[in-house]
Amino acid sequence: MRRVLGPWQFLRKQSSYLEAHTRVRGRPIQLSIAEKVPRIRALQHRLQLNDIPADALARSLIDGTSTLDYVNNTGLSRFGRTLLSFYALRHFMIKYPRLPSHVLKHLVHQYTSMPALAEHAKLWGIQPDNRSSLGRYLSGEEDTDGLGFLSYSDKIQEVEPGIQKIQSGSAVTSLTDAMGGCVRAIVASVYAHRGLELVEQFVSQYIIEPRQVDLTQIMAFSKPTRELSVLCAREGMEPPVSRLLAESGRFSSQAVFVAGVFSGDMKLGEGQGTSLNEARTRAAVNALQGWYLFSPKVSNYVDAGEVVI
Amino acid sequence: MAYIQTRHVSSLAAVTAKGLRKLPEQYMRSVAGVMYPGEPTTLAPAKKFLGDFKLSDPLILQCLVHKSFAHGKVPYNEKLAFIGSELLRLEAARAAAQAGNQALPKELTINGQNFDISSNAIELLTSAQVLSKICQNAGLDDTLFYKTPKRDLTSSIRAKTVNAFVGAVLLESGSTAAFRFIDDRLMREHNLFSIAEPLYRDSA
Amino acid sequence: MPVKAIPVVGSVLRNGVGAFVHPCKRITLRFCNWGGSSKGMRELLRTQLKDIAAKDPKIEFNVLQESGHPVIQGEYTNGVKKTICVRNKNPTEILEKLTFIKDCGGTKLKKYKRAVESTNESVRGVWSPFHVEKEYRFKI
Repeated sequence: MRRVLGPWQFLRKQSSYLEAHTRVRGRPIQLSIAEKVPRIRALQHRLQLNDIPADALARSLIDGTSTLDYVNNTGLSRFGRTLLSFYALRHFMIKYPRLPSHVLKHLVHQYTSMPALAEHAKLWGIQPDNRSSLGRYLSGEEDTDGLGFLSYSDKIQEVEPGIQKIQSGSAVTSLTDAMGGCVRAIVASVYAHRGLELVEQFVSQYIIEPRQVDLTQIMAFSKPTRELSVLCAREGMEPPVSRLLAESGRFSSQAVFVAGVFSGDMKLGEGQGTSLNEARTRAAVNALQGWYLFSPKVSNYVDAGEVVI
Repeated sequence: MAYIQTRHVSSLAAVTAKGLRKLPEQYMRSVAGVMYPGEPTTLAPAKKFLGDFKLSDPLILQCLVHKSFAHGKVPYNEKLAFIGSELLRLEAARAAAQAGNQALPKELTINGQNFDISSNAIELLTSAQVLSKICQNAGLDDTLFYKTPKRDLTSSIRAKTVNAFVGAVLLESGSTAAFRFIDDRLMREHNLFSIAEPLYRDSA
Repeated sequence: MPVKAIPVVGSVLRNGVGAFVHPCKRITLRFCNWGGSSKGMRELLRTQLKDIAAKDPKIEFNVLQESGHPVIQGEYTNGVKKTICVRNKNPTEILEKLTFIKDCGGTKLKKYKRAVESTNESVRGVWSPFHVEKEYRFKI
């Protein structure tokens, strides 16, 4: 851990400012109560979070729209979002340093958006509960019985069978957003109790590594041949030339052409298509994918930036 | 027979017209009139700004180049600024969580930290206004390479430069060094807080 | 912008890569206080319940008293529930069934025809008629 935040003492001086901007409602969750909830104990062991106190986990599972009279995870979820987007961005920027920045942003979104995180929440066995306080009262439950479930108010309400009422506003949310928010909050509580180095490990093990995204599918090129020639010019390489490598049935209805794109003696890419033009374009796309998806062995490779055409 | 297609392009220094290729001397020049990659003195303010944190000369130069310069032909700072801004935001949120623990009763904090501060209050610290001021105070203004924008975007260009230095230290020397860089250089040396303080007072 | 980012359709979440989260999240043991078919289940709950629950803290155990045959039900993270009726079984047999429920992945039982099933692309690639030596190529 880093030494005490020296210059940040300024913020401490501004405690009245921080107090004015602190928004919290509801009563605290008692550790002695949270510890006895079997769902929370099970979650602790399932995610190997035995060192995270049960009250912090219980709080992470209470969404801002919950009707329970407990503190919620709004602030934790916001902090978790900052943590997740930084670590995901750093992971991919080191792994694929040449990806254009908007593709990188999009890739990070694939890992840290609410729908993506909601899948993790489902995998972790988090169970949603969107009953109103009246519903809980009628089934004879108290607020403590709602702990351990993901507590939120759904924006879709079934008024009567077959008729749904969709509400809007800050008092309701969707299941996806609530599930995603609780994953972010759990990440923030891991940070609060384990510190920066170990939360990075948690994010990498539980959020980034399990997901598999096909990166060749994430990029679309509008002018591949032109982009490739600008790239070659910028990198001081010979201009790219497409050559036909193999063909079959040129005069038939199912012609196949294999084209390669070369810069001097170097083969940059290869593509197959049913016309000469298609093969040439696919070869350029293949070459550009090879360039942008380059993954170096060192971690301090700094890229020059994408090509501007 | 393979052949290589070549085109003959001639440029006229005096004439500028649409579709005519410009001479490098026309567009490889910074707003201050310095020719890319700069004179020996170009990197001096940046090196002073970095202090003990050593970066290679090409990397420092890359931090000073905005994407708009020379149509992206030379290395620019877009992605360095991207990761730098994310790191700064994280660091500000961490600091606020630690410093704001007195604003909450102890049982509402999580391990003695306050995560319930509104994000607008935190993001002010790393806003473009504040960072652009730091860039000006460090004397980096005349060493920046960018194309003069039609609208006034200079504060965002300056802020990106500061973010890029944070990102460059992060990628070159790791996160521990980057946190130390934020602490030592931005906070202590360049007094980020005294710059942000009037803004705080305005919004409080 | 020459390169565009497009949404990915089939991104897969692979449990076990990076971290493994146990797929069985809850087990409900149902027994009847009176019926003869629950005799073994009652004995199991009386003597071994504590050990069973303590051995697997990552699973939430519920015990339910209800009339009818005794039943073990497992709930999995993919939303599937598996139910096994354990009427007239002795504690050893019930424990076997419980282990089966506990260790299940929650997917439907099926026969795996290949030794390895992977979401990764083949390393070797697909054979192409255009990449063999020119003299061996098939000519139309």
